[in-house]
Amino acid sequence: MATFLNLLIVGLATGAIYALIALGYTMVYGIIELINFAHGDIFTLGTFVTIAILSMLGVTAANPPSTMSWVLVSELALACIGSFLFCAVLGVLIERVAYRPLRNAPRLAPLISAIGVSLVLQDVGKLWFGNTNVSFVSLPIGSVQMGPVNVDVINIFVLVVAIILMAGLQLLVTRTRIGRAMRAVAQDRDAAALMGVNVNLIIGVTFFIGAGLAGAAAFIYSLKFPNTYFYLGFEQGLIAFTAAVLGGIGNLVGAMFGGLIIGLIYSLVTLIPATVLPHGGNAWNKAVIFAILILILVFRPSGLFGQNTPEKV
Amino acid sequence: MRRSPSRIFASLLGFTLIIGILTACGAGNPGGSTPGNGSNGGTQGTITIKIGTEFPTTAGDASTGMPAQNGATLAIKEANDSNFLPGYKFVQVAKDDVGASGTHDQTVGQKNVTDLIGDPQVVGTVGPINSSVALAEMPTTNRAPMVLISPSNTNDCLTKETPAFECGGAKSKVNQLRPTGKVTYFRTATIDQYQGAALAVYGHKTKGYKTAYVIDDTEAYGVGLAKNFTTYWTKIGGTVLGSASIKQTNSYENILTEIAGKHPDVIFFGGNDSTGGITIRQQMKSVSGLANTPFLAGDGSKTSALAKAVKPLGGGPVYTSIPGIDPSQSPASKTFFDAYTKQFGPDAIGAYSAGGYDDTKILLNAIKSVVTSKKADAPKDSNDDAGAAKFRQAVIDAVQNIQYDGVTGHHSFDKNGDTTNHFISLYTIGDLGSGDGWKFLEQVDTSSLQ
Amino acid sequence: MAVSESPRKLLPNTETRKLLLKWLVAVLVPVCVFTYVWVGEQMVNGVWLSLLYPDVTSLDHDPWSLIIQSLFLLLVYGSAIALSGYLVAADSGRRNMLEVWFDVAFATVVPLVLLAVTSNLLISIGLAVVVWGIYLFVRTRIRRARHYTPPAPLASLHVIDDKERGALLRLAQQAGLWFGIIFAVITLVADIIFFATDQLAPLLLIWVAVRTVLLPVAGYFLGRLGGRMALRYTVAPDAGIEVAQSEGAQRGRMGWRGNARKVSREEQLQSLSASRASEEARDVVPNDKPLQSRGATRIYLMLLMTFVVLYPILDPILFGSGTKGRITSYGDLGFYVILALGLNIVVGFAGLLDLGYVAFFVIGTYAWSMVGSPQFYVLTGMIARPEIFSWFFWPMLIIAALLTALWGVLLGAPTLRLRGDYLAIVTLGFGEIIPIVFTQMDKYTNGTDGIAGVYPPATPCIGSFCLNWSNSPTPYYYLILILIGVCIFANVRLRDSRMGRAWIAIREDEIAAASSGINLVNTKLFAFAAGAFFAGIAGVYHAAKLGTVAPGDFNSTDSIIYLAMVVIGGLGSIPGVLVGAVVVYAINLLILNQLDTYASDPSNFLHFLPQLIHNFTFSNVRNLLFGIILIVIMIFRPEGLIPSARRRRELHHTTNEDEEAEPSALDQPPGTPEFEAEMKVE
Repeated sequence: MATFLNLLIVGLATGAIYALIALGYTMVYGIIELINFAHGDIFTLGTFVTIAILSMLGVTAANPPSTMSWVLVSELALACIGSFLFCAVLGVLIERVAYRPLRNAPRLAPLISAIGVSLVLQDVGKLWFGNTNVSFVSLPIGSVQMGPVNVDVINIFVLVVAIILMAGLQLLVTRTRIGRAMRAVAQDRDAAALMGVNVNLIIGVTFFIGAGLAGAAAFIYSLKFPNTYFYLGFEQGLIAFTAAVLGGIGNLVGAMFGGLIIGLIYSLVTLIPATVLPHGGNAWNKAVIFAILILILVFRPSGLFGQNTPEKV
Repeated sequence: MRRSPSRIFASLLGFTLIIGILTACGAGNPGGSTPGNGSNGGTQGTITIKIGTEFPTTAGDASTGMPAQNGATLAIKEANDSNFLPGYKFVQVAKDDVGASGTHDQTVGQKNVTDLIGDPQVVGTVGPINSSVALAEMPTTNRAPMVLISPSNTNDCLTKETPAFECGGAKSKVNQLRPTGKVTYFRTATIDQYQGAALAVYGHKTKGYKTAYVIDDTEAYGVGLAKNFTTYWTKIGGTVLGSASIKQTNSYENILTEIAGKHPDVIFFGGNDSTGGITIRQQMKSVSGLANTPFLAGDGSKTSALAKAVKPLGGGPVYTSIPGIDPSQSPASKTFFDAYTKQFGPDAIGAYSAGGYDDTKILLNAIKSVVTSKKADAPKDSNDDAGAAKFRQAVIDAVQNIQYDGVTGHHSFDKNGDTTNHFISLYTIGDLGSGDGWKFLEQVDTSSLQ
Repeated sequence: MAVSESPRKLLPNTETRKLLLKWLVAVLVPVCVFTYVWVGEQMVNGVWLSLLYPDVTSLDHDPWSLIIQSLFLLLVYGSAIALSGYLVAADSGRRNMLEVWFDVAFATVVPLVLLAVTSNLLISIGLAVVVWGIYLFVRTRIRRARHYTPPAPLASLHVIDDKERGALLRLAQQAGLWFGIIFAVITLVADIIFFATDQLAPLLLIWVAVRTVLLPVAGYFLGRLGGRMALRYTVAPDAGIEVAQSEGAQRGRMGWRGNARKVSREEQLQSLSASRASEEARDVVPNDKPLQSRGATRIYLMLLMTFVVLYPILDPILFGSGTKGRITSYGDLGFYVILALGLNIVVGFAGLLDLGYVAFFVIGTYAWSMVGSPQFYVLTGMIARPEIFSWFFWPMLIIAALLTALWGVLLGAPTLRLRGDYLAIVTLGFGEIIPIVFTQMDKYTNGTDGIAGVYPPATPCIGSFCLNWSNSPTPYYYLILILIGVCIFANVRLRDSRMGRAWIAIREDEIAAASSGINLVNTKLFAFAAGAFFAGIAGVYHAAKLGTVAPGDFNSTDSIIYLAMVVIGGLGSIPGVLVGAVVVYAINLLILNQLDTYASDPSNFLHFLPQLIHNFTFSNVRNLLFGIILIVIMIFRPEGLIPSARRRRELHHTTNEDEEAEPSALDQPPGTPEFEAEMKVE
């Protein structure tokens, strides 16, 4: 039972990070119908920036801090903001260089261009930090006993931060002027332009926020997980994209729940014994995720939260 | 434009003609191409001998392949500098077996050795890193035949039919890998069987652990090592609580949480540092119940990266091993280490740097013995196919009979092409400031363990 | 049309002189470059030398090689002469001479010079593609800056009567003859210089003399042949033409509506839409772009085919040692081509985005690995003897392909309701699941270690001549060549079939297609099945050629590479996909991963980089370079290198200035017959 509860918490915390990355996919897809393959690699660079900023401030993995202090907290906050801004600007830059020239091109051209950007970012990361696992700073945060389980404080923190960010995004999109403009562009780019919306600006803002969230996710990731490497984002990106599709691509709430569900499946699959699947469930976690995804899509072809929009004729 | 078209015409034709005459070499003479026309650029009287290296040196596998290739480069450079074989110049032909997907690729590996075989001046090849690539390359090099020496392949099944559960009887791969029936593939890494046994004995007998949980990284090396460890561990009385087979991922928290519920005495990991070693050991620290559990792994995890990542975290002890003797026990290693760092920088050293260096030296020594004993002549130029076949066969025979003392100890090869050096060295994390951060514990001669 | 009444003489008159000059230079320059810069002269002399000096051992006396070489040379020079005749006869004479020369120079001279310099086929083709791309880009820019307007399409297709036919034929004859004379003079002068500088064996002078006489004669006849080829594509005055001429174009269009009377070709063309007509106009004579007309394309294709078929024998002569390695890598390139062709059916024709195509390839690979290897014993308890089981390769080629097709249907069935990117993610998932299954079901698949010792195919021996499948890459080269041929044929037939048109319909608009009575379920499932079928063939071939298979070698990055091949080549375009596969394979697997080898060679121009930057290796930036290449190709050519005709028409207004402006429906005022006719056909 304790194992099950532990796995549940681990799954939720992991899922929250997937959800944050998935938001970037779903926002970009919603507005220009592009699978932004480079998004995961923006996330990778975010983890590298976090490490770089912290080591500039003297907090390195080789000399981890022994106690939490306000100085450390402010340094972490700085790293978080730095990672957010870096990724956000990178996202806007990528959109400008690699996607905007292709906005009227055949549908798959930007996809290949995105793959190209992804390869470029991977190599940039590799040139920067080499192709080994780069350790994060391990923070002196303990765990608390909650009933039968011993919960890492980090897990709770990750969940809380993720929920705050997602709520903020939801407010931004539904309540503000710029959010309304984003929704308008997503629905019909030409009509929005005719209504006086600066389409290029709004697409830029979308990339800014989406990539920025990946940066924030990268920071949170650095608190919870032990290390990163240049290929990390590509793999995480695929799973996060799956989460976005599961929730209904283009739908923000869907991406959040999709992320959490994927995180939970990922974690709970461990409980499948080796008698059911050879080598135990953990070896099959990706297969199980995709199998469940296919099953869900068979019954709800637009994802869990996606509206089944009638085709425009 | 009122220029006369005929003038343009004439000038164009004239131009073509001039190009033609300038570039056409004397192909019209029955003497044909002038001797030494090949682009080896060697000075008069120097014969060029090429040595192929075949490692994954780009993208995802660069950290394992590049140090090995560097080792080979160093050996060849030293041979040329010291005039190792007067009248002969050694040239490295470096091939990279990384494929389209960014990791080592059998198809590319096979194509590489075919390329190398196609060049008569290539006498032998050092490589590959991965056992799976070796599977694709061995038949090709065996038919040629050309010698292939690997510094790192530890998969037992490449050279013999044991262990029976993997490649005994009908599962035997030896006949397919050795179509001519002769041994042309050699390796200086002690096979998994010995390393798994040494680790099991160390854990069970020396440290007194009773129960183990075994994880592997689904790659040929890791799976093989884990299987051999499990076999020997149970044979000497230990208990395996469970096993997991997980492809490299960013988080092992789930499986570790489950393992924590089983309270093993030790966790064994079969795999490389980058395919799970570092992450598993780091995450053990944050999973309650495993924070102080010992961690046991093979040579793939004995890297400075792992030591650096794990040391600041504290937690349970980490034990690893490498096949072969510890460089500190070998006088040659200091010289090698200094020369290597001077050439490629202190960070460039890797698990197989010394292996790549030694294998290349073995090949060089074999070539030298062939040339000095006049058993065969080195191929004259890049068209001498017949000479190449004869010379390569002589080199294979010389490698089979070699007695070599190098950085990784004394090597000679048994009838399967495996090294007779069965020493396994055991390590734990030591002082990060010195060397690669590992402290030598003891050295086991595993020949007696079987 | 510069053709006028030409007297029966061999000297060109003032009017035809310009035409002759234009095409003689355009053909002669590449031929001279081939002869003197690359290998032409070496090969010719090599063949003659080994005939004239049978006892000099350093010469190649292999009769097969000599026959093949002479055959190849005859074809090259013969078709060059015929081409000159063809071009002169087919040209409408409306295009500027310099313009044509520049095009020809960049399309042929540059690759030939690169071949001579690099002595590496794929690298020079890759570089030539780059140069060609830059040239097109610059040309477009210059034209735009100069407000260049391409000549309007030929107002009505010119009908050629018997008199004109005779004149054209004579003109072609003249072109061939003059080609022969000029080329003979050039070679004669060159050989005299060689002889004077003691680079020519004396006995070869016989050949020089023979050649000098032979060339003009051959030119005379081959030029006539080229002219005849051109005349095959003329619009001839036949039974229907009088009607069309007397009653005008208006009446002709009526005929298209289904009048039972015989209609002329011209009428048919006119009744097609204008854009369609200009495509059709490619194969009629006179032609604005004779270099791209169908007759010329046939000659190129014939040359290309001969080259490809004879390649393994020509290779050592053209590129020196290392033939085996090169043939091996072309054999590998072959299965990428088949994979790209298969994926093109799913993505290019049917518009279903498939990001997990590698799964079918894995299934195909394992299908043969499990039957044709010792693993068969593990599965069934029967020992698979290689001398028997090698024969099963051939039936397995089909069985495995059908098996993967079945899997294609199985994957397709649950995804039928999904659209666009939902489908993409499901296929991506499938691509992830399959390698996991093959890794973890180690009881049957031998897990991570994979299956080693997969048998090569077996073929019967003819007398004492046996194909050496296990030790030579050449049989595989021919096998994959045949397989590619079959796959291209199947692709073309599928595309033009009822099913193929249904695919394109659902790609363009699923709802419109469904409401026109297309069965979406069957059409989509068949697309998946057909795509998977080809992956199965490629898989079986791959397993047999490599001899071992391991699940770790397949992952989602592979699927993405296949997709990049299809998109870069041109979605839905079969020649485009072929080129795309070659380009991506060459860039990623032959050029980028060899850069370090080149850079370490002091004589190479890349050598300065490692000198300049400490610890610089190309291996660290390989993906960076590949990524940049992908982005650049997509930005400058989003429709792919060779887009399909349909795609080109779609994108015409935005990107493709290279094409001549074609009148479209929108250029016609509504209500006019032209407008009506066009709207109906499209």
